[in-house]
Amino acid sequence: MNPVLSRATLAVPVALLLIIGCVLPLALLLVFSFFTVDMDAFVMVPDFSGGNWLQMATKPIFGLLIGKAVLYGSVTAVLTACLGYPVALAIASLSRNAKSLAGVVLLTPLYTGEIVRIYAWRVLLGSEGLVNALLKGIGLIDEPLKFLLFTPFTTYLVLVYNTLPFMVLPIWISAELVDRRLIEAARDLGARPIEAFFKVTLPLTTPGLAVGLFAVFALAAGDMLTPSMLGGTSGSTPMALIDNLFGTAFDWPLASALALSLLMVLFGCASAMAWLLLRLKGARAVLQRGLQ
Amino acid sequence: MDSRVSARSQITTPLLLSARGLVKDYGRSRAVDGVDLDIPERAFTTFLGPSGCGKTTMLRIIAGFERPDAGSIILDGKPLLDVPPERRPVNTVFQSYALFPHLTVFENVAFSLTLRRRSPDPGPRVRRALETVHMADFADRYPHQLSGGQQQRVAVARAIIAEPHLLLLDEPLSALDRKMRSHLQIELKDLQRRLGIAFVCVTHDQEEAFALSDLIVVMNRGRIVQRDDPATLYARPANAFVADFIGSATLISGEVIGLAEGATSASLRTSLGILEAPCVEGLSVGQTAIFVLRPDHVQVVEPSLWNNQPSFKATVRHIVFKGDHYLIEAEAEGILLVFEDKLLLNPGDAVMLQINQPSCFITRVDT
Amino acid sequence: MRAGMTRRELLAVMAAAGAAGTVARTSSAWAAVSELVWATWDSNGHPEYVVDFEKQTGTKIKLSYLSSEDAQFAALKTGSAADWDMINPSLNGSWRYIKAGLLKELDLSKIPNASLMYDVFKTTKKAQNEAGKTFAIPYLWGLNPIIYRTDKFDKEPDYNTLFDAKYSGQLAMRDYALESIAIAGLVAGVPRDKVFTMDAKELGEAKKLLVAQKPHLRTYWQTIGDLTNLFATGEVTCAFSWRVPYDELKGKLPVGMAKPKAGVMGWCDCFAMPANLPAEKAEIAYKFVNYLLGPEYSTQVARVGHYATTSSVIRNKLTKEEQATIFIDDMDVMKNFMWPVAPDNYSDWLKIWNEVKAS
Repeated sequence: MNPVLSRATLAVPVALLLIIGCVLPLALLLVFSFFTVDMDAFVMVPDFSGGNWLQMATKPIFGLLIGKAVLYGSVTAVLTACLGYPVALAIASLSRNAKSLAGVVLLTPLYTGEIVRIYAWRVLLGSEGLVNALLKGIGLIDEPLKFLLFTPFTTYLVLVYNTLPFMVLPIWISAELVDRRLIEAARDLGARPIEAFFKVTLPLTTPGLAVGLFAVFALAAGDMLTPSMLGGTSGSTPMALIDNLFGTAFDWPLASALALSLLMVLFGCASAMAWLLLRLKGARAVLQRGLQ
Repeated sequence: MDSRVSARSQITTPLLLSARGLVKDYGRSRAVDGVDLDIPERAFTTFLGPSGCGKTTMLRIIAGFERPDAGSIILDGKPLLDVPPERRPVNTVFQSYALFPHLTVFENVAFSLTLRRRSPDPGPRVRRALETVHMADFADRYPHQLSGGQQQRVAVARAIIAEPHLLLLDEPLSALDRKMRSHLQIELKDLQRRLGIAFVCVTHDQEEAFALSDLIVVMNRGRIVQRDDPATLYARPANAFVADFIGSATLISGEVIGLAEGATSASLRTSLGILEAPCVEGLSVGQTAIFVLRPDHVQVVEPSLWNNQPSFKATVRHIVFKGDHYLIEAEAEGILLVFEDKLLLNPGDAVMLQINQPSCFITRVDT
Repeated sequence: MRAGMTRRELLAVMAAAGAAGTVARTSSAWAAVSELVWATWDSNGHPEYVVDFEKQTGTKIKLSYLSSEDAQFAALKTGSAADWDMINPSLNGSWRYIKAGLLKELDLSKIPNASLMYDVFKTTKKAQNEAGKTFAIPYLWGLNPIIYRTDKFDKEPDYNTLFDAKYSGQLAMRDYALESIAIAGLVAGVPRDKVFTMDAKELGEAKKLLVAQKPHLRTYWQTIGDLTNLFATGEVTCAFSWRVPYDELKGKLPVGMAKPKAGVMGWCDCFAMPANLPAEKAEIAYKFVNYLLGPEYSTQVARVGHYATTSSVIRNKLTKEEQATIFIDDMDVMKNFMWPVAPDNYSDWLKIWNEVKAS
C-alpha cells in the first residue's frame, strides 16, 4: 500500500469524530435557519422564505456584533504576535534547563480557571485594586484610573494575556527548527544581525507565527466571558446574543442563522489569513521540507 | 629524499593570515590550545585531524562565529578579531551547505549582493558564479530539489560571489558519496587555481586532504602537530600520531643507538633487529623513537633475490584482495607488519621479508 | 415528523451540557414510590429542607440540580430527562411548558395547603392553560430589589437613580434584556402592567434611555456572584440586583435594599409534574407539594435561605424582623409586583438590548 495512504488511514477515526461532532451540527444549524417559530403553538415550522437570513443581511446589529468578534480576534492576534514573537525567540535561545522552566512558566496561567483569572484581574485593576493603590501610594495619581477596568483596554489586555501561550508555543517550536547555521550563513554572507533576522529567521518561523495567529484569532474572537466580565458596557459579543436567542427567546432559527453567519465570517477570515501566509516563501519551504 | 618534496615544502608566497596564541575553551574542555598558524595567499590549506581536535573551532574563529579566549589574528595586515563576521573578507561553505531553504538557487547565490542593495542588478554576476560551478541551468530550483553534489556547488557559488580573500570550507565533501566526492575534489582544486584565492578547508579525511591541499595542518587535542605539504607529511611525519593518522603504517618502537650524517639519520634497536633510516631532527642516543614502516617499504624476497639488506621471517595472518594487489598482514617477532604484494599468499605461510630502510623514517613518540 | 426528529437531535446536542448529569443517572423504576427525583435549584432543595418529608412518608427525595431554566425546558422537550418526577418551572416561564404540553394537569383537591397561599399566587393565571386548568403550583418567591451603599446615598434610590448622571461610574445593570428594558420602560413612564408588552414606539423610548444610561454604568453584571464581587470591591454602589449581595455583604459594608414604588420585579418558582408521570408516583408528588406549602419547609427556607414560600402558614409565627427579611412584613409589596415574562417578540428585545450594548 502507498505509505502516505496507510498513514492517512490512522486519521480515519478522528476524521469521523470531526464529521459527527462538527459537520452534523452545522448541517442542523443550516436546516434550522430555514425554520420559523410559531409562538402560539410553540413549535418550529419550516419556512423557506429565508427571513432569518434576510434579517442577518439587513439588520445592522448582527453585522456589528460579528464585526466586533472579528475585531477582538484580529487585534488580539496582532498584539499577541508582536509581544509573543520576541518572547518565543528569547526562549528558543535559552539553555535547555532554562527552556523547560520557561515552558512551565508560560503554561502556568492555563492551569488556573478562566473565572478565577477574571476575578484576579478585577483585584488587580479595580478602582481600589492593586495597580491603583500602588500608583496612589507612590503619588502618581490622586483619583483611581477608571479605564483600567471595564473598558476595551481591559478586554484586550486580558485576551492578550490569555492567548499569549498559544502564540509563543508554536513560534518557539518553529524557531527551534531553524538551523543555526542558516543564521551564520547569512552573517557570513554580509548580513547584519537584523538583516539575518528579517531574511532568514522571520521567513522560516512564519509557520509557527501562522499557527499562533490562527489559534489566537479563534480563541479571542470566540471568547464571551472576558469581554462580558471585564469589558464593562463595551463587552457585547455575538456569542452572548446567540446564547440568549437559543435560550430565553426560543428563537432557534434566528440563533442558527446568526451562529452560521458568525462561523462563516470567522472561517473566511481564517482562510484568507491561511492563503496569505502560505504564499510566503518561508512557510512553503518549511512545509515542503516537512513533507520530504 | 625526493627533490620535488623539498622544493614544495619551501612555500614562499606571502602570508595572508597569521594567528598567534589562540585559545578557546568550551566550559571545562579546551578546544584550541595555544595555536600559532600562518596561512599563505593563493594556496589550498587544509586542517586535518580526528574529530574534536579543534579544527572546526579554528575555522569558526576565522569566520567570526566564535571569539577566542586569548590570542590574535592578522588578516591582510589588519587585526581580524574585532571585525563582525559580516564585515570579514571571508566566506564559508558550510558543512551540509546551509542553503536557505526558502530561496531559489539564484536567490541563494545573490544573497550577499542584494543586502543593502549593494548591487543594482545581481543577475549577470550570479549567472557567472553559477556557470563557474556548472549550475546555471538550476537557477530557479529550490535547494530541496537538488542532489547533494548540486547543493554543494550552489554553496560554493554563493560563497565565492562576494569575492572573498579567503574561502573557508567546513567538511565540504563529507555528505557526498565516494564517486561524487572524488569528482568534486578535482573541481574544487581546479576552482581554487582559477580564482587564485586562498582556500582553507577542514576535513577528517586524509585522502581528501592529500587530493586538495598545498599545505596540510595536522591538529590533535587543540594543538598543531605538523604543518607541511602532503608529500613531506607522508614521508617525514613529525611524530607517531601523524605517522599513524596519515596513510597506513606499521610503527615499530625502539631505542636510538646511533646517529649519523649530522643527526639526520639514526639507528634503532627494535625487536626486528637494528633498523636504520633518515630521522626527525633532535633525536639523541638512548631515547625511545619510532620506526615508521609504510606498506610499500616492505617486500617479500625470494632467496635468489637476496641483497645486502637484512631480512627476517614472518608468518602471514590476513589477506585482503585489493584488485590489482593484495594487502597482507604478517607477524614477525610479535609485530604485525602491513604490506602490499601481487603474489597470492595464504594465511599461515612463512615468508621472508625485507625492508627498504632508506625510504623509511624514524620519528618521535607522541609528545 | 422529520422536523420533530431533527429538532430533538439538535436539542440533545444543545442541552447536553445541562442535562448530561441527569441523563446519566440510573433510574430505578421499581422503586417508584420509595424515591422521587426532584429537579430544582440547589438553593430550593437543601437536604435539611426535605428531611421531614422523608421521615413522614418514607419516600426519599432525590435531588437533581438544574443549571438553567432553558436547560430544564430543553431536557423535558427532548425527553432526555425521563427520570425526573417533579420539576421546577418559573412562574413566568410556565406558559412555555404548558403550551408545549410538558406538564400534568394538577388536582388542587389533593393539595390542602394550596388554600393557604397568598392571593396573588392563588389567583395567578400564569400557572393555568387557556381553559383555566392548573398545571403548576407557585411555592417559593422573592424580590429583585435595588441594592445600594447606604453611605453613598442620602435617600433610598429608585429606578431613576440608575439613570442619573450624578452617580456616573458607580451604577450597574444586569446583562439581561427582559429586566433591563422593562426598567427603562418604567422610567419612560410605561405603566407596570404594560412594560412586558411595550409597542415599538415605547421600546424605542426605552432604548433611548438605555443608550443614554450606558456611559454612566460601570458595567453590566452577568451572575449574582459577579455583582456581589462588584459591590465588595467598591466598583459599584447601586445596582438593580437580587437579594444575594445584601445577605452576603450585610455587616461588612453599609448596604441597603430598595423596593421601587414604580414596580418590584418578582421571581417565583413553581412545582410541576411531567405530563407522563405515573399515577402512583403522582400520589406521593401531591403529598410533596403539599409539604412545600406546609410549615416545616416554609420555616426552614425562611430561616436558612431567607426566602418566602407562597404559603401564609407560618407568617404569624415569625418575628417582625424575620418577616422583613423575606419581604412579608408589609403585604402591600404584593400590590407592586411585576412578573417578568418574556414576550413573543423577545427576539426583538434581544436585538434592542444588543444594539444598546454595541452602541
